[in-house]
Amino acid sequence: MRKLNIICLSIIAVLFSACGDKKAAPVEAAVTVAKPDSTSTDKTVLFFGDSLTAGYGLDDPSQAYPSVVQTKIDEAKLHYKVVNAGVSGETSAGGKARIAWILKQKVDVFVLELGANDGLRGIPVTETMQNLQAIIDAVKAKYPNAKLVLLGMQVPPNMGGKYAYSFKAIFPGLAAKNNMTFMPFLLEDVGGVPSLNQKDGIHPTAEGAKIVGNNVWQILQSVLLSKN
Amino acid sequence: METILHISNLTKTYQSAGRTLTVLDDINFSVAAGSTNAIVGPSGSGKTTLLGLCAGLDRASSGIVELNGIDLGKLSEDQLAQVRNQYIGFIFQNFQLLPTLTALENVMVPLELRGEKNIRARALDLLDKVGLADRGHHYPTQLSGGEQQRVSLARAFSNAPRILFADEPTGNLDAETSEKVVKLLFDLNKEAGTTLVVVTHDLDLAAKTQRILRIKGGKLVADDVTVNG
Amino acid sequence: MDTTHIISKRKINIPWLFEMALRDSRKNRSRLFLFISAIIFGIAALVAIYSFRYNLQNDINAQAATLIGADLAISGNRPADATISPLLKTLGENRSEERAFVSMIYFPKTQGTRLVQVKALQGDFPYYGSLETEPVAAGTSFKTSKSALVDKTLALQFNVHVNDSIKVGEVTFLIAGILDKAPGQTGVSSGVAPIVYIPMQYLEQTGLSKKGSRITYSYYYKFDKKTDIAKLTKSLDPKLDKADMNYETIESRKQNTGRSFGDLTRFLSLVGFIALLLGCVGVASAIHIYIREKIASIAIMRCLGVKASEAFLIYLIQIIGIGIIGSVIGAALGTSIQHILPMVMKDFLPITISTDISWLAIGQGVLLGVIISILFALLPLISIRNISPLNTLRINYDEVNLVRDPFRWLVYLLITLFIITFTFLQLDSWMASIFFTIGILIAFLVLTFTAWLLMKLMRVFIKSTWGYLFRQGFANLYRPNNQTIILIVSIGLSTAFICTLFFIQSILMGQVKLSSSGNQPNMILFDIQTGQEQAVAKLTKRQGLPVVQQVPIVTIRLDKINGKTEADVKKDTSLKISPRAFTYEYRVTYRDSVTTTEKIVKGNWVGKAEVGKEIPVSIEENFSKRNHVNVGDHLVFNVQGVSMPAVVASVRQVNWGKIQTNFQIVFPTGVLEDAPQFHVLLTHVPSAKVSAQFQRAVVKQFPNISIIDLGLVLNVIDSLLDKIGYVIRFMSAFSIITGIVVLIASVRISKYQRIQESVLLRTLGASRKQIFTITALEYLFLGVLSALTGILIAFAGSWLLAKYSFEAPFSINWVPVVILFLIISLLTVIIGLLNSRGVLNKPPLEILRGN
Repeated sequence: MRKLNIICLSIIAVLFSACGDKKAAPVEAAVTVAKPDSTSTDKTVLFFGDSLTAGYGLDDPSQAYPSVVQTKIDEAKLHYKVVNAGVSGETSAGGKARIAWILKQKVDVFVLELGANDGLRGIPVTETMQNLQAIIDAVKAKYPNAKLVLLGMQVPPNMGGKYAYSFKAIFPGLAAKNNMTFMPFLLEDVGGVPSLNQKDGIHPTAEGAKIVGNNVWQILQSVLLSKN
Repeated sequence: METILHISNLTKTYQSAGRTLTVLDDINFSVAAGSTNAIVGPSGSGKTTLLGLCAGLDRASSGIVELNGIDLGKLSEDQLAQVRNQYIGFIFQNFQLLPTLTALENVMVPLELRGEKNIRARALDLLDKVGLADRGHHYPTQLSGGEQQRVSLARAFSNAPRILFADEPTGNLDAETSEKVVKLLFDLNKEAGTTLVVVTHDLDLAAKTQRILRIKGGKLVADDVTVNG
Repeated sequence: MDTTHIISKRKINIPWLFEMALRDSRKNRSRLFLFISAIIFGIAALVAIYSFRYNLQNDINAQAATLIGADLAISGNRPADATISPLLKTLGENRSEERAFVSMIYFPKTQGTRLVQVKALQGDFPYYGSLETEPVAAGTSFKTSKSALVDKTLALQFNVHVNDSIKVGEVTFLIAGILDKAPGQTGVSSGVAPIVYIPMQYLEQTGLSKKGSRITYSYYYKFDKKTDIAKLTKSLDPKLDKADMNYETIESRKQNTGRSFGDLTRFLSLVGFIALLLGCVGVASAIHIYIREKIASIAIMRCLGVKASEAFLIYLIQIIGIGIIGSVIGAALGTSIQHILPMVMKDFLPITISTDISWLAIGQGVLLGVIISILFALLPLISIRNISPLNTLRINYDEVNLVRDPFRWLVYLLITLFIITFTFLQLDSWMASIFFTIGILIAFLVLTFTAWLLMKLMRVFIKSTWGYLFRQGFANLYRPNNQTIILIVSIGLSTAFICTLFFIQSILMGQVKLSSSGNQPNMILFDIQTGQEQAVAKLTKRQGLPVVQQVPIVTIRLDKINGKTEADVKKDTSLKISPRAFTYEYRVTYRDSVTTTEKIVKGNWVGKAEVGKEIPVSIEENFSKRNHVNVGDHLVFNVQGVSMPAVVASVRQVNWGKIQTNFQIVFPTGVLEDAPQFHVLLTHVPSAKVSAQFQRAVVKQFPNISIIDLGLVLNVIDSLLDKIGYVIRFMSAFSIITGIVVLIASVRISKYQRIQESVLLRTLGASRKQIFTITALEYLFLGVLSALTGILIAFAGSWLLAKYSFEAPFSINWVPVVILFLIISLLTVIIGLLNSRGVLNKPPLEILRGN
């Protein structure tokens, strides 16, 4: 009855993949646009986030919104190199554990995009808030001069009004407390619009990512242009 | 006179334990149609083997067996079977009735094989002739030795054979029964005009035939015409 | 002279042959009954097994149906658009709709909140199985009011009961029932979050179904029985695909939930086939002896002018007739056994097996019975053609060799072809059928050789110094007219078959136990962060639960394969590398050794990376095949921003058949320890209560850790396994009984061989005790030797089957084997003695005359 075990196994396999594409745990890799060994003299904009940053489900990671931002930077002839440090399925707790590894490279602008997976899993908002704060603290400790940007997130309405409300409230609070540049909702104009999202209804398509990238650029532009 | 059986230079050998055993050695004789003949000789002299060869039950090592003008050596097994069915009748020492068939059915088999008509009536008639008309529905095991041999006689004559071979027909019977069966055999033979070849130890029986062939050590040692001939 | 003119041509008279066949059978009916009984029991077993199998298949199909709950399930992540909506609304006889989404729900009583899977249901789904709830009625009645069904674990966790309430979105529902088991539950969703069912008419009011809500839309259909679902789905496929919707049917679910039923059917077929082969052994030996007894009659007929072919036909007709009678009786018996048995054993039955009369099974059984009767009778039958009429003059059985005939090779070929074909029909694999047939042939040859050797040895070893009884008893084994070969082959084959069944049964049962045993993980904790893993393991152990496995997982991407990047691969398709190899995010682990479920098939495992060198990684076999990557190939991984050059050091075969974390790529130690990672822990919780308690403890201390409880799914599987285990036992027992019956028949037919001799000895004044001893010795020796040889053959056969067919570890329990050995040896002796009983108790003459 060897094959019976396969039932169990396939359940687990499905589980993992299901979790993977929904937003859950089993992490999926980050892609960095620039390699750590790159000898560029450009300054670095590091996008630290989850699948939305990693460009989950897109044909090519270069279609993810950080790459759109890179294009904008290049068009603006600014000497910044975008590093995409998004990992699909990443939660705030995962980010907290990962931040040290990422901060081995020099960071000039740190863009934080995490929390969506916490929200979809109903993790208590205090927990998420504490993890995000820990990440911000780590950046501040290692690169005190780095400019900080926070991209806000919301959970779909099906999570229930009360939770959705308190979740949404995490981000402006953190931004204010840490003096970060703040974008209230990363998926503005895109979230909930079927044509701009992939089949799973949560990850933007390439077109959606373009809109997201433009929106992020609107915020980031001023940060990059501002003198210290 | 018509010759029904012609034997020339008949030899039969067996291979046994690497040695060649000659059972019959250059036998020559002919049998006239309608005659009665006895083959006698001591045990192991080869007389039963000779009978088997004459009746096409076995094949000769060399020599010719010609029955009713047919060279038996040239026939296939199936053709031999048909020759037996058409021309030959058999009587055995141990009766050799089919145990699963009734007396009547045993008598019917040769007729049925020939696809003849009125089989049942003819078989009953034959049973009547051997005095067993009322035992037709009995199985061989329900009959005494003499009765079995009488059924066997009825069967042997049922296909109106041209030649009848009998192998020790009285060998398994007591004296009194033997006498009855032998009488019946000769009576039926006379009535049908069949050629009779009987292998026997029983000199009384042999004496009833017209001719006695003596076999000893596989050789034909004497060929005597009796008072009957 | 042309002799053919003198011999009148005679056509074969078929009706007469039939009449002769019938006449000839009259006095032999008791003997033919042995033949019939071999057929009867073989066919009965087969028909019972087939019927049982068909019914069981239906039952299991029905169970598989409860896994999905409907004939067809269609689902998508978006509301149906205008193009597909009309189709969805017209399919099937009966339709249900479901909206599923995750949400945080609120327990007013304990003021707790929890992420759950909310399922808003409308319609009569499930059509197969039911929502098993406490109280029972709640499973259907909840849809009519503002009430909900709450998962058992959830209820335990939050200490809520029926008639308490939960708040889903803006609506408060009364808990109508506690959900025990939900058909169509895949465990995937229930694992992520426990389930709460609500009636769909309240979904809008909850306010959870809004723009941006992530909802899975499912449609369940029940069709008329006659509908060809496979055909239907084939036509639906492109439309659904266009609408981004998935579908599932009972059939596809059956396939997806493993080929476990395939394994079961395969085993049952094997059992059926073995029962059949046992019947074949019975047929062959019965006819063999029967024809021997018929030599005299056949010789007489030949004397009277019956042609060889006619004699052959007479007995062939008999065999066919008896084959038909036996098969029909067997089919009837099989059908009734399969009716009676579940009734008799009702108290022991974990499931209700339906007992419909399966005409298909009966038809197959009768047809097979006739074919087998003919085939296996042919071998002795063709020898009829060689029975010389000379046998009327001198009865010498030695000269009648029943097997030396060129035609016998044709019969052997036919039998071999039959076995191969029949096996193929059962196993659906030419390879397997050929191996199986070869196995049987080898078994046959081994047994024949054993018998031959025994006879040779006996001839040499019997010493005149032995007592008379010993000499006579053992000499019986080789003296003319002996039954050594036929008995050793038939008893040996029966033993081999029965024993193989025992072995395979225990191997399979062992497998079944293995998967449902206590240590099989049924709970997965993931997202354990570095630094938490020790504490989580400690917590798990403190709760009295085992840490079955704990592994670190690092997510990486593949940048280059042998220097080629994704762009290169897209440009040059001749590289045979899927571009997906680069888009995929690999979950890998690192460790210093291979696990028990892995086997290195190529290269060497390297457990530790050396500084400054390429990292020696191990890849999984399928990954290797899919991407044409092999040992020595160079890969460049991107470990979350850090580029890592690696070389393939080994290829692993992974047994995915275990609940374990398995990986496509495994790193050695010394590389990824610092990389961002999380840990997974597998444990086993014994009950829902413990599960809830443990989950509470974990969530309280480590809120970031997510838990999947597979308990519900495993429960379903466990109960299925129990049932399958029962069926295996049932079927095997049945075939074993059949085997013993055939064994009895095999020995009994030898009665007619020995009876004459015993009578003779008795006539010569042998005492009862002496004949008893002689017979006992002969049969004891035959029984012991056959059983021993049979067991050895079974041992070899089962080992091969276990290794190559079931891929299960081979282990046997010697106790039943020893018992089986004793039983078979004893049975042989007892039956042998019973055969002589007639001789012992009656006056010799009566037997001589009666026979």
